[in-house]
Amino acid sequence: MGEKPVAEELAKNQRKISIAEFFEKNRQILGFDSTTRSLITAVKEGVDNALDATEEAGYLPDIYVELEELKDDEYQITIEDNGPGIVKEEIPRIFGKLLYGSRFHKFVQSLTPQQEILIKKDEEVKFVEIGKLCDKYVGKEPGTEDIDEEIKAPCFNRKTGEIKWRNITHAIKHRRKNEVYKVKTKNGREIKVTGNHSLFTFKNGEIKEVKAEDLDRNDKILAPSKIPSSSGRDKLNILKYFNPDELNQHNLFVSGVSKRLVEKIKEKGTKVVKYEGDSDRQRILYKIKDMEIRKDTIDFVYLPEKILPANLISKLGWEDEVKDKNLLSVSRKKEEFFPVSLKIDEDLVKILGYYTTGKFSSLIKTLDQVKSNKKLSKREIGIKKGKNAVINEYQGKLNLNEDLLLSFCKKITKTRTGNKKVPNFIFSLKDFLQEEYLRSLSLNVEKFRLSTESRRFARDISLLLNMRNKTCNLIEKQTENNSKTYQITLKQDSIDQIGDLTLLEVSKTQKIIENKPNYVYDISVPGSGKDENFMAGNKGLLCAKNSRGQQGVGISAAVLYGQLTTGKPAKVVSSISPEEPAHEYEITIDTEKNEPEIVSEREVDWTRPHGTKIELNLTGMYIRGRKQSIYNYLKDTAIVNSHARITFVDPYGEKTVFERAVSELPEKPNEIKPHPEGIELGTLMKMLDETERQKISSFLKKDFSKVGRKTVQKIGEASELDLDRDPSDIGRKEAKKLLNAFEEVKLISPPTDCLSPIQEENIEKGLKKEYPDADLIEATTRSSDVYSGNPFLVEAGIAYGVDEPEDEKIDILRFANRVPLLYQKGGCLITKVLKSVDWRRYELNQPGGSGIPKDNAVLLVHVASTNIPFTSESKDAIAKVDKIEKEIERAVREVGRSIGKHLKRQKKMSKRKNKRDTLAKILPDLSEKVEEITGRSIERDDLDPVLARITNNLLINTSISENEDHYSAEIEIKNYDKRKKEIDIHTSLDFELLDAEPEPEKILDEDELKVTWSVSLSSGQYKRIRLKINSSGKPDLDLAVSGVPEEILTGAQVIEGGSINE
Amino acid sequence: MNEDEIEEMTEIALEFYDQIKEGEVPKLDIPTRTKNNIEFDEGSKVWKYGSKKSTRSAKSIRGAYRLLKLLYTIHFFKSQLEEDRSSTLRELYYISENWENAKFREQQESDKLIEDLEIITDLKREDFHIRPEEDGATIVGPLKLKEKTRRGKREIHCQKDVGEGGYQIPNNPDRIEFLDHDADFVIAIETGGMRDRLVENGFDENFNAIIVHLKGQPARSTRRITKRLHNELNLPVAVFTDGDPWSYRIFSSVSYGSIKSAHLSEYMAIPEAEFIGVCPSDIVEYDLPTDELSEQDIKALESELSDPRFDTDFWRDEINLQLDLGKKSEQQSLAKYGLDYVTETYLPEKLSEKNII
Repeated sequence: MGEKPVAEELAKNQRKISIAEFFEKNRQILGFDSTTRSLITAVKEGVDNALDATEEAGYLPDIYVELEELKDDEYQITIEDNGPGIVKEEIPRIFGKLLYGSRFHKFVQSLTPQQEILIKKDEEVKFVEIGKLCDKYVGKEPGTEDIDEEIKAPCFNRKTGEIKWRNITHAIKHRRKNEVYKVKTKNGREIKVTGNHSLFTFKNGEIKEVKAEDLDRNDKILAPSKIPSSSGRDKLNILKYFNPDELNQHNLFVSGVSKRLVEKIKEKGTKVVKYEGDSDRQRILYKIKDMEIRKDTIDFVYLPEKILPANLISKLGWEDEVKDKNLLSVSRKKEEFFPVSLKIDEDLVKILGYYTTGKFSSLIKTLDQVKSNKKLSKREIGIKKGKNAVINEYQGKLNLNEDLLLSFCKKITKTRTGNKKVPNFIFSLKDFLQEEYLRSLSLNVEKFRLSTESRRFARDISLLLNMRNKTCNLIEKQTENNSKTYQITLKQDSIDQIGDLTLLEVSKTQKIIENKPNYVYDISVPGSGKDENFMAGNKGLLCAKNSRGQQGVGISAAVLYGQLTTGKPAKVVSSISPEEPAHEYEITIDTEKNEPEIVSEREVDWTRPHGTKIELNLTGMYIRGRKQSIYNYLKDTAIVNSHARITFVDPYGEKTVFERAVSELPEKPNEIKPHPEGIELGTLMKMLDETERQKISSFLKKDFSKVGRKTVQKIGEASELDLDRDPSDIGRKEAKKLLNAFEEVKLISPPTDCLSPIQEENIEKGLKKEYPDADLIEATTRSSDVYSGNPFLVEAGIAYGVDEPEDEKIDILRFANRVPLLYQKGGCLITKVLKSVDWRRYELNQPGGSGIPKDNAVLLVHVASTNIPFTSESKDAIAKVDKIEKEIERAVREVGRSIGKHLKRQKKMSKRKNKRDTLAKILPDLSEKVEEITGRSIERDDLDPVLARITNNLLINTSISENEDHYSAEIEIKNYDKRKKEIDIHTSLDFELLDAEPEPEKILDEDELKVTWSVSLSSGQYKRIRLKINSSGKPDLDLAVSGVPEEILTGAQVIEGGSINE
Repeated sequence: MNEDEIEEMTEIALEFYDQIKEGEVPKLDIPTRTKNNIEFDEGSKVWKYGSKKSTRSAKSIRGAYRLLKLLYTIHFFKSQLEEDRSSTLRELYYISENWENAKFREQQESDKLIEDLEIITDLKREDFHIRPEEDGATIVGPLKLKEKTRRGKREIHCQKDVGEGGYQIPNNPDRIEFLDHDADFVIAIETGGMRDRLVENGFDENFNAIIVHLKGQPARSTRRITKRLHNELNLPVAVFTDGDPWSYRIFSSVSYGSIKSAHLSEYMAIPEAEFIGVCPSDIVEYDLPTDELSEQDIKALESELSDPRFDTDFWRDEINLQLDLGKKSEQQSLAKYGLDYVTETYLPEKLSEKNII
């Protein structure tokens, strides 16, 4: 949804730059950043295409991949499929589409290191230098790294102009290759970026990117006119704004602390015994960091008084534990109380404002006003204290003593004129408090006017005005004594208002000549759809476009890569039917026009009745047997696409066929309409705009999934909109109401048949065919679930006892929508979950009980979703989403339990067998010695019951005696095991059976008469079978038993068909 | 010849025979040999095994191997007795090399098995014609004795007929006959250095003492001869060791018998033996040079606190004192005050404290 037009638009833009240049700059995101990865990426794109093409046409994929080394580091890749083939007319579309298509666009654009950008971290809004921010994640060398903390940047929606805080996902650092420009606006804002960096403009009713180097005077660029303010803080913890020494100077204590907290001092501290001078008196001290606290003080002051010194609290980092308590200020004259958490009210922000701007008469007035407020009695706030105590608790009003208050002001506003600032917490206050603060700076906010020598203060004010929906001019002036002042005035309301954005006129674009940075920076802020942008600026904010990568890049990137590295065209052979001759086309990409070009065409003989073959020459490096190798990629692909046959011939001529295990195509997932839950405002507005429905009610019912008449009704009530209205009349505000209604109304989850699970049995089959040695294979397909309106499901499989070393970490096969994930294993949610599971419970070897288990096993996890949350645009790793995390855990635990059960039994059995084998060796030895010592003989048969007893086995003992005219045989069965046994005893009759008690079942099998007794024995039970036999010589009574494992039987043979009967 | 002994051992095998014939798992009960199962026998005043039994059974693989080794050993002893030959503990261990499944892993294992056998049969290892290697422990003092050797009977005076090394205690001291003596007491010394010091300083002559060199944890023969000197000649016994937990165990094995041979306590233990030092309190009183207690030392001391043989006021106080001090001292540390200090001051003081002189 909403993706297609974006792609088209970008494609248009991209055509303007040289594709070769573009490619060169985007290698990393495209997957062609290293010689080994280039080969893998090229094969991956080819195979993905081939799978898609064949499945779409309803053929079982039969894919052939060959790699041939032409010369050092130059390879020819051949990828064949049995798809429907392509005709000449389609070539530009297919290759063009892939090249410009939705899956292939990214600009590399950058800011200079000192360029400040606006971020929000831990609910605190602030400016940071992009270089400092990114270096923290990327380090010294250039590269791209995930940002794993929650840091947000304001990001606008291209359609609505609405600005929202969105997560920054990546920090990016490049070596600078382009010129750097400084763009200034007439109202004083400026930004330093590389020449190809896009800012935004507004043309023909649309927001458009514009490159910095193309900007001229009077061009207009976008800037925010309204930054959403934060959640609304109303308290701040005084203790956090002072260091321990300062707290000590103010003689502050925290009062009302719990006994437990005081006692904790003794646990935290090191006990030291000290003697005072020559005296015998011992002093016990607790040392914490550089503080020494006497035991006596704790026991006789802190404990009974329930107080602790504020500097100690600060040193121990316990500020939050006492946030509900009161501060006690002790001076010679009096003791005062006030809360640790200072309430931020109008008075406080006013005082801060007056303090910052040096309006001391107003400040004193305010303070006096505050003081004259009613003081509460001790009893009213429930504190018992000495007679000198003055309780400084004002109802709903400022409460801090003057000393402390002024120190506080000084501390957070830095009044030295040059580096004055707006305290950070102001940006996260409620609207009216921000207004109040602004008012204290300049009486009339509507005609706001301020002049300051601090660039920082000016910048902060500009942001604060933005938050209050005002845009300011910021004019820099040189004063006589050669310092600068910044004059802030409000910009007149402009007609160029787009949502939360406004247009500013460029005054100058200047190429930077001196001090050009070596490195330049960017961040990634994925917005909705195409919108990737953030706000930057050294004196007020401007909108900046940021880098954006995309998933799979398409075969044409591989074509281009080949062409750029080897200069050779790609060859495409295609056959659409056995009746038509196959055609061979040579294709190059015209890097000027950025379009595919067919340079030659001829008819050729080709054996496939239909299909496509692509031959590419490219430089790269082939590595055998590594985890991230072509071989492994194909193997993993074959496991989850068990309906596909993939043949691979490596550069050494070695051929591997990953045979198909299933001969049915996977079910085609149903396409679904968008689900209202989790939809973006921009997308909704676009849908409203484009729908053919005449009424909102039918729009809701027909264009969304799982919205019925009742739901429509409820949405109508919740949104207070007339649902008979025409959807195209709905404006931004009303669309927002609709969106809010979606959240309010209980919606039915989206349908999940749009997902394409591999299915349990196909995972098992896939694993079985690639790991034929595995002793156990288990898989599970969980039922689907929904996160933020996106259906998803998780599947897991395990193969145990594979031909892999036991003491190495098990292989983890990660898949997202059936595509193997080869890179960024460590950052992937799947890996994280697998590490956190205690695999020892499932009998896998996992030293320490966490981490990836070390065993000869392979674990497979597949996440399928209409929208897989990847950690980055290169789509190598799945991001943490709680619901998905839980499902992955359930899935792997499920397969873990299954194999654990088997392994437990196996281990028990092998222990049993080992014991039996050992004792079977020792016992005869032992009896022999007994014989030697005593001179009495022991028969071999005597030992069987002993052995059976020791090993808890089932004992079968046969004895035959000769009578006058017949032989009688006796089969004794005794169950020494703790469990009941049900067995069948078989023997073939090569003698005449005169009588048997009990009567056996007789079967004639291949001319041989066989008899079977079914015997059931509870633990410790003994049974006997008596036979009367007519035989010329002593009969041979060969017994075979089924129904017990071999390990458990003594005295007879176990035959096939015996199942573990426990 | 040796028929009683042979019968005792055959009895064990017969028991197994009966068990197997009954279809039972072969097993054998023997007293548990840990410090939790030694009891003070009021009659003989020595520590003996209590009533706790452990069962060696072929039910487990370990148990089966043990019984097999026991039977091999019995079989070997039986033939050794029938042929009236003898062997040493070490020899037995090497002989087992040919026993396949019943081979001993280390000599400790065979030694322990023989002790088991002693307990089960109520015989001593000498009865099986098994003896330890020469231990080399010696005695010096005004004592005349007669020893039956393979080269006939010899009469020896342990001062006049021996060099400074002293008279070497034979493996089976019961073959010795005491003829005459001039001694007032027996002093058993842990270390060679201290024994040499006493001999050099003429302590045996000056104090009419029989000096027994224990050589660390004393061999059975050393303990047996000391016991005989005590019992037959009515001589008090003083034990003089280093001041560390291991030395206290040496004293306790002389005095109360060792845990692993509690079955022989009556035959070897001397409950009346006196410990004269070095005590932890000596460290303080004589201000002796010390070493820090190691972790093992501390563990050993703590273990002794739970050992019934050390459950007396004297030992509890001394051990607790030592744990508090965290120090230990050697016998030789007395040399701090000169080479003669030990014979002229320390020992006389200590011995008279105990009313031995």
